Amino acid sequence: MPAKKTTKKAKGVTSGAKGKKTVKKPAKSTAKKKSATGGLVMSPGVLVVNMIPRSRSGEHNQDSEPNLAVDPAAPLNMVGSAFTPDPGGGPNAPIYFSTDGGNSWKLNSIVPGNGTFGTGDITVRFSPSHTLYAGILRGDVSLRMNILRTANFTSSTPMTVLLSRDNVDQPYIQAARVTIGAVKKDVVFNGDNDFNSVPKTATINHTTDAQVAAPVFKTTRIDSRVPSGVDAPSIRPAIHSNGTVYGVFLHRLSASGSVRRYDVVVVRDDHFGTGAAPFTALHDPTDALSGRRVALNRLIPWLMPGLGQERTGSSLTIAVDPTNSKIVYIAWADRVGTTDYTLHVRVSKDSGVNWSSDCLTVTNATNPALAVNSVGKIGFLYQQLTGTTLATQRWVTHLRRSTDGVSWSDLVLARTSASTPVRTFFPYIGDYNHLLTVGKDFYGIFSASNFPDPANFPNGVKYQRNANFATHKLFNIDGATEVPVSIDPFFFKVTELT
Amino acid sequence: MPASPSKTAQDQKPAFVFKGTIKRLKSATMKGVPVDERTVVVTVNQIIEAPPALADYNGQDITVQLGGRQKVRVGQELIFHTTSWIFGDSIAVRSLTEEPVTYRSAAMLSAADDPVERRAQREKRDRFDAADLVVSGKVVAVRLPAGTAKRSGAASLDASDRAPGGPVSEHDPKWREAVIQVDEVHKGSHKKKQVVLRFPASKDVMWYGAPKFHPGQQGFFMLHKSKIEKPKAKRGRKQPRKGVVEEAAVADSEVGITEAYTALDQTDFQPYNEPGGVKTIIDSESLKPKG
Repeated sequence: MPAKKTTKKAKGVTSGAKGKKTVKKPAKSTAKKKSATGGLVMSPGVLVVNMIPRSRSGEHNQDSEPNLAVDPAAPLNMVGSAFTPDPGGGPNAPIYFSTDGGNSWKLNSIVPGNGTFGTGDITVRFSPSHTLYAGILRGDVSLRMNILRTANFTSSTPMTVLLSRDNVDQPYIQAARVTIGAVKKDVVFNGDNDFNSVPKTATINHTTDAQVAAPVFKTTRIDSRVPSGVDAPSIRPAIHSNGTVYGVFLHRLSASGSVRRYDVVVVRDDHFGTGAAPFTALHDPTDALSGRRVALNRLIPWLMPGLGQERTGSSLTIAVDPTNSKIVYIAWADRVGTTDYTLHVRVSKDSGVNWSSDCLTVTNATNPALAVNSVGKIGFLYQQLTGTTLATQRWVTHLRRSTDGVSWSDLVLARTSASTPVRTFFPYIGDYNHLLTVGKDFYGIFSASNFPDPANFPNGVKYQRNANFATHKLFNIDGATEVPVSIDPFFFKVTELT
Repeated sequence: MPASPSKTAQDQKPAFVFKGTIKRLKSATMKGVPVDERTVVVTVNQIIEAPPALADYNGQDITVQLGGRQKVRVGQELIFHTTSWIFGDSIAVRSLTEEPVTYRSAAMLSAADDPVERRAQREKRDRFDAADLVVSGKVVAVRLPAGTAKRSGAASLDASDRAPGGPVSEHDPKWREAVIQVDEVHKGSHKKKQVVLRFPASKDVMWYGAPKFHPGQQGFFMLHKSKIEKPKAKRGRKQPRKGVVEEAAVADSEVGITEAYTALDQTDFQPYNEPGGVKTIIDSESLKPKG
């Protein structure tokens, strides 16, 4: 409910809009200062924003599994996504968008197929052509994948469906604007798990001309071996502007209930997937088949829940160095002991032929996301579960950075309760989140408890929704009615000063 | 894999209907909203139908993207039939149609109904109209669908896996069957004393919103025929015995898809002790002249 003139605001409530005539200017710097809304001090170079708009202060959905796109050619423009339903209950699910560099966010319901909790799985990506692409599972039909496009993410026109396919899981989209035959074109690569090709389900749907009215998508099955049953849900592509495109997936070796074993496999294409046999440029030295097996026979427990209130089962990410296509990083999660869920980061510096041992290992963590900036610095986002009992467990969201893959800095973005709120559905915070770079700066998104406590956000945070950080309470738009704690998406930007 | 629509798209159906007065032309109540000739600021005078998120905007100024081509003027009062658009510091809605406040609309405006309840009732009405079978009764058993029971015999309803390898997707519905002892048939035709519906036991985001059933539940069930995955019978094993209950349709063994009754929308089940809703619809149906 919007603030009424007669409504007395609870003392200390902070909100994104102090009055109708207040015009907020985008922050020119994130250097230490009082936040306009959250009342918390931001660390230099760090911006963390709760993305729920002020008019949605009364919501308490489980807005998990977030994703983020930043327009590389106009980085004040951004789009986020999560399991957020259309507040109006209409036919389209919302995206989050910002036109001021992530300082403020709005919802725009333009994703076809709104369901009970919004869209299904969704990932979003901008091309420098300012075109937004999305890979989604519709919220109104089970396992129907759409690849979507819009040239105007603030318009009320629903996104255009470029590709629709049934019986497909977890689309993960990447886009870039590249030169092909002296012509600039948008290329789109969408990793997905396609049950129409059992058992070799790991798939990349790709096009080298995504801006034409009806793009032609090529479907490439990237698993050259025969998996036991199906491949795992997460299939991730990474594009380099020189034509190199990597893919990573989990090839299933065996499954017995929740106990499953996988190989971690990387594939590569050197010509934007345009050849007769896409993604077969990289071969394994042992069996000579396409797809380099980076890690063999890893135990990956499929547990609901498996980590706090969150499930485990398919955590995977890949990033290529924009300054050198030969340098590629991957991270995945598996079990190395008896009860853990452990993240491993590895790097190849020869186009995926040879791989390092772990250059970073993190125990009991999920949602890995990698990105490399314009000077070759690697960033690694993940969420680690700390504590031994449900009451004391916390989700700690880290951004680790390194210039050499050996020494890593550690920036803690959030340290939130893992027990409150109680889970509504799986996934609790998400099966993935996202990290990306524009120039030297890192941009990311994660979901976490929105309990308003300065201690939970050691580098500061900005809330748009009504919250009182002194009393640790959330309020509806009237500033008086209390709202329960829930899972919200948080945007962050970390400015690289050197 | 399941292919059952859990909810069909409600394209072009208004979610937020209100009477309002145009306050400013070519204007918006917040930054970031694209403003053109058809963008106006409207004061909400009376909400007629609304989802909970829009129920408290009486007296507030909001942004409206007009749908029709009619010219409007400041001070003009209209009834707006809208869907949601942008939520920021304020809200913006997209109008599908605007109509003048006339004698015809007076009844709608004078009704004292709660706007949220009115919308909820309309949605229930839509589900009732779309249902193939509406019955009242009691859930007497919940079981695994035939063909998915474990070799050991008794089916574990807690089993997370349908097949030896387990579910292939984190979105696996984990289908279960609820056997309903029918008290009365309110819509459609059903002559047996029991009917079986399939429901997803999964707590995944894709299925969590669907009603979950357990023995002892009593109420009204709005059942919809849906195409869902058919468990494939294993070679050399006895085919599932034909039960005393009636299935919705015969399976198509070629494509592994079968048709079954489902109740996937939150409104598809209503306990006896919950007032209004389907009860009201059934009562109103019974008052309609037959034939």
